[in-house]
Amino acid sequence: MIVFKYTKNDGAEFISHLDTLRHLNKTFTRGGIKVKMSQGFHPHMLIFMSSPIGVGLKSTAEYCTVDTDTPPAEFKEKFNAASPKGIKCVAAYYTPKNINLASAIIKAKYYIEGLNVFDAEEVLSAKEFIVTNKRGESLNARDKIFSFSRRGDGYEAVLAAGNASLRPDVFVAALKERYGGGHIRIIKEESFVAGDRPPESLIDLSQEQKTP
Amino acid sequence: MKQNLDEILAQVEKPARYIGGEYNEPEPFDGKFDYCICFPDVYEVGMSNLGIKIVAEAVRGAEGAYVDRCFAPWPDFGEKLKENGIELYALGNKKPLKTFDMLGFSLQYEMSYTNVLYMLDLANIPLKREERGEEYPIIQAGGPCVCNPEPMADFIDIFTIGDGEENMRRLAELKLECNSKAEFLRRAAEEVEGVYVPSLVTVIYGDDGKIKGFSPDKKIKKAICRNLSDAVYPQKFLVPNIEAVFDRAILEVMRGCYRGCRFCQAGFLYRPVRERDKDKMVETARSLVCTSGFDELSLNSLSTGDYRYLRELIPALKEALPDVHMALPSLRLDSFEGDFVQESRKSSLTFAPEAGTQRLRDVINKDVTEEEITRGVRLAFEQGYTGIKLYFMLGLPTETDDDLRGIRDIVFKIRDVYSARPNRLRGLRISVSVSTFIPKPFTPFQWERQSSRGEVEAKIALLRKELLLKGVSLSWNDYSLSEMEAVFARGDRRTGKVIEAAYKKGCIFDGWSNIFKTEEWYAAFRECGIDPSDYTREWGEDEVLPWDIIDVFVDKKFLLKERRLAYENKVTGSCKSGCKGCGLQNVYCPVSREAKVKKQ
Ligand code: SF4
Repeated sequence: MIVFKYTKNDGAEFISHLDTLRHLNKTFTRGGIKVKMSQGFHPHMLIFMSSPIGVGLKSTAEYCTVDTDTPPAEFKEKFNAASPKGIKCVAAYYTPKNINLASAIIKAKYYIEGLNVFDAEEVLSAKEFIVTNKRGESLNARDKIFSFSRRGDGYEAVLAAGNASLRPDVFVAALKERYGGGHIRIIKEESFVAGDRPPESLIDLSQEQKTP
Repeated sequence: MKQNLDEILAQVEKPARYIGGEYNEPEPFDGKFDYCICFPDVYEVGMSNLGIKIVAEAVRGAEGAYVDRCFAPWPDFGEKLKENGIELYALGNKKPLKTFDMLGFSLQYEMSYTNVLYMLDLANIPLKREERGEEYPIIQAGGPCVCNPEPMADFIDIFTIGDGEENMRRLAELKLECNSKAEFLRRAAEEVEGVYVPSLVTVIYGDDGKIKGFSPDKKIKKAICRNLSDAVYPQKFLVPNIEAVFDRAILEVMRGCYRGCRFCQAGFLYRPVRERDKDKMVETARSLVCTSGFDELSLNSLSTGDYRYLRELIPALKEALPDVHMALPSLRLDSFEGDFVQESRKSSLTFAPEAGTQRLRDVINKDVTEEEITRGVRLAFEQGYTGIKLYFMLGLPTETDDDLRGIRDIVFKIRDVYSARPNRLRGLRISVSVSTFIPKPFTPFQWERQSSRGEVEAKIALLRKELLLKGVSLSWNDYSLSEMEAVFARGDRRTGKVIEAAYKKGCIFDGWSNIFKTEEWYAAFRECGIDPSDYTREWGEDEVLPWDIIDVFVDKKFLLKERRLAYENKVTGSCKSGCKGCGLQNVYCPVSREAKVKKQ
């Protein structure tokens, strides 16, 4: 199996999660990367993506596991030769088993541009941080904000990801309402598993790929 | 404060419709001739269309031609563009449509006409051709609907009738030779096959308001591509950014149809039948699949089961592309073959008997018997299908209530076939879909009237009663929509006013029944002083028809004879059983020629 990290930018940020899966499928076919199929009436490629990212959010740290015997270096090369604009593999690793990335990734780091200048400290020093989620409900999301600081012309935030996530667009909408801003751009730069380690740390690198 | 495109994209549904950059997109460049294909429907529909892919390929054949594409923005995005003063742009080079030399609209169905105006409007281009000077692109239109171009004649500079393979390249080349729009239009009308320039033709009306004739009185002959196998065909498809209606590679196995069903416009428009070379198609399929990554391939035509090399083509494709699923969307009931069907991944199978009784099927020359229907469904059940979809038309000429009750009989027969099967795991589902018959130009029924709203409602009420059965569902379409479709299929130049008035009232995406604005449409008719029933009425056989200016090479005499035969419940049968002398034999018809050779 291969775990790979890929980008979603350069237009691809507008492609939904399901459509991204379709594009991954086609990329494997075009690139000649043989992927194992599921059993059953409607066989499909065994592809396991990390949690969906909102449409319009750029990322340089998406992860995906795919059941293939293609070695990592060859995988990366073939993938990038056949992938659509903005969906590019930045690293690929061999893993003996599927590390469930969708549930393992619990935090993500974002870079946010387009907000007015304000004191970033205020966000973390407050007890409450009220956001309005996509269903229109107001709730306190303070415990889902792990860090927030000014960086360059923008801000950097580490927010909860995975099952109990705080969507960065929801978070930023609340900031924009409070402090004002213009056209917002959000880039997901890193994902983390427990212990604030990168997802790659879950891969047992000591294991060599057995040639099939 | 005005927003830029990126900000807008973040706020609309499915923004990937508007960003271009599809896999396999050719690199944009400044061409000597910049052409943008405009598809007046949403991205997912347009990206599935084969015709525009062929046209793109044809125009690219002209030296220095650049071809781009644009689809109708969904209303949410359209509004944002207007609000922010952003002009509609081409997806490839992102330049405003206004900057192109020519825009080519693909008219696939009448109910997309307001979307043509909508796209022109969003591009800041005047709607009427008379209001457009040299500074604006030439507005061209092609596709099946332009066989009656008149309803759109006030908006379009140049129509291309018939096959686009050769004449679209020729038009591009001609444009480079001309110094003005007027010169181009005049020369195109003279020199290029299938070209209709409405500004050069005047319609003459009689005192009774009916059409008396055209000046000059010269028919525009459709363009025919004689050798499809050697004609341009895309070897790569753009891979849609978001899931399109058809997410697959498409092979057009043949053009035209042997059958001659009397209601079917395509069956007459696309004559003669031309079949493609099977080996070339295998090569094309291989290229399409390898370059796109599609895992499904469909074999398209009006009647793929009639393609004479199908038995060799399918195994050859399976061998070349073992991992690809094959879809045969227009497989007809009577050419149904069990071993092909299992390739499709759908759980229900579609049949289109079109009429409920043998008598009425004879009237429409739909050469399908009840035995063939039951044999077809039996095969389908053997393949594991548990759902059957049936399509019928309502309001066909000579139709009676008995014909409608015949639909129930067919449903019962299908149920019997299913009940006779051992180990039925699931209940059988039959969904019956009925649509209102629309008398279309260039068919033997072109003179027929369309049933009134009251008649259609009574027919539906009867069917609802008859089909109140377990496991059987009935669906029908909106009468108003069918009525409009009839009006604009058969309309003359005067109906263009209604299209404009309806657009001004906010009518767009009329083919989408959830968006269709019934009230606004009828108000537009009233405002223009036009009564839809003037166009849905029966036409006299000696009347000049609005589309008489166009010649698709099917003789009116032949159509009249077919109409007579229909009223006598007589079938004509398929061209496979011999040439019926429709008129194409005098121009170009390989089927007729072959029949003659055999005789000798
Ligand atoms: S010319 Fe004869 S064979 Fe050809 S389409 Fe017409 S009827 Fe059929």
